[in-house]
Amino acid sequence: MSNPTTPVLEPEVDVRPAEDLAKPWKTVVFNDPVNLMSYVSYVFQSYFGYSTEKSHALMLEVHEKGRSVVATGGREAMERDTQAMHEFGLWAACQPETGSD
Amino acid sequence: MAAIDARGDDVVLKLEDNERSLMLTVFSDLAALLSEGQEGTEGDDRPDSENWEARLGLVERPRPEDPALLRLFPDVDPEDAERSEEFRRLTEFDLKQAKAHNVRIVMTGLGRGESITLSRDEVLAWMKGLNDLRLVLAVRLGIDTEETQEAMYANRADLGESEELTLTLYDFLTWIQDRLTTTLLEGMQDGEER
Repeated sequence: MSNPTTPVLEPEVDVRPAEDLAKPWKTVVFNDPVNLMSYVSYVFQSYFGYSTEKSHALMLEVHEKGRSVVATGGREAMERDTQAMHEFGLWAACQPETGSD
Repeated sequence: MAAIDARGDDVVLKLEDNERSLMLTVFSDLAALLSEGQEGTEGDDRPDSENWEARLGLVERPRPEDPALLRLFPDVDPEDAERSEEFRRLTEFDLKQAKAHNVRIVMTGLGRGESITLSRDEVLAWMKGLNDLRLVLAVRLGIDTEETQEAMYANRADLGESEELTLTLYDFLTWIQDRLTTTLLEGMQDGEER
């Protein structure tokens, strides 16, 4: 039995073209006045496992240039990293690599 | 006066009664902000853990109008509205749950009295919770760039009473978050040297 007012859930199948999977994506962290330099360094060390020196350099790039590409890779991995940055409260985005950075 | 010290694997935080009660108040406000619009459809009184439609990303999640919520839950790509909308539908519920969980850990700790012993995991939840609260307070104070922040401190004498109190609280939370963070960083460096 069916109720015509009940919406039927149809799976939305999102087929991504093969080249999309290979295309590099990036996780970008933007500067903001709230995030502490110590905290941003800590996040880069603990989440990405970067060395103290690399984390410090990336943190300074965010602070001085307004943004830094902190990771590159497949779309799903970069979306996961971006969500992790959002959980830490960092202002981050996952964008397709355009070659401009 | 507040103090923070490492003790073995734990961190001991000492807070005055008035500092703890103020923090409890503002973290309750953050918990309330995070639960806004989380109930799903009206009349739905299930706990979040049973809200499987939201967990599976079947519920539309509109882009927040409150700039503080938008800062806590940013677009996945500010240059791609469609992808941001899809990402929000699939992930915002879990992200909200994670942030609310951090706030609960902070509030549990604040209930431990004037000497609060925190495990490393709890310290991390405190750092994230303090950061989220500072993000919200900064939006409320109109601090959105380093320039507006500098201007606010430069003209501190001209602030109204309520803004001045918020800025004092913001500085206090900044100090706690920074001390907790440097304590964890020092622990990590000791680990590298060993």
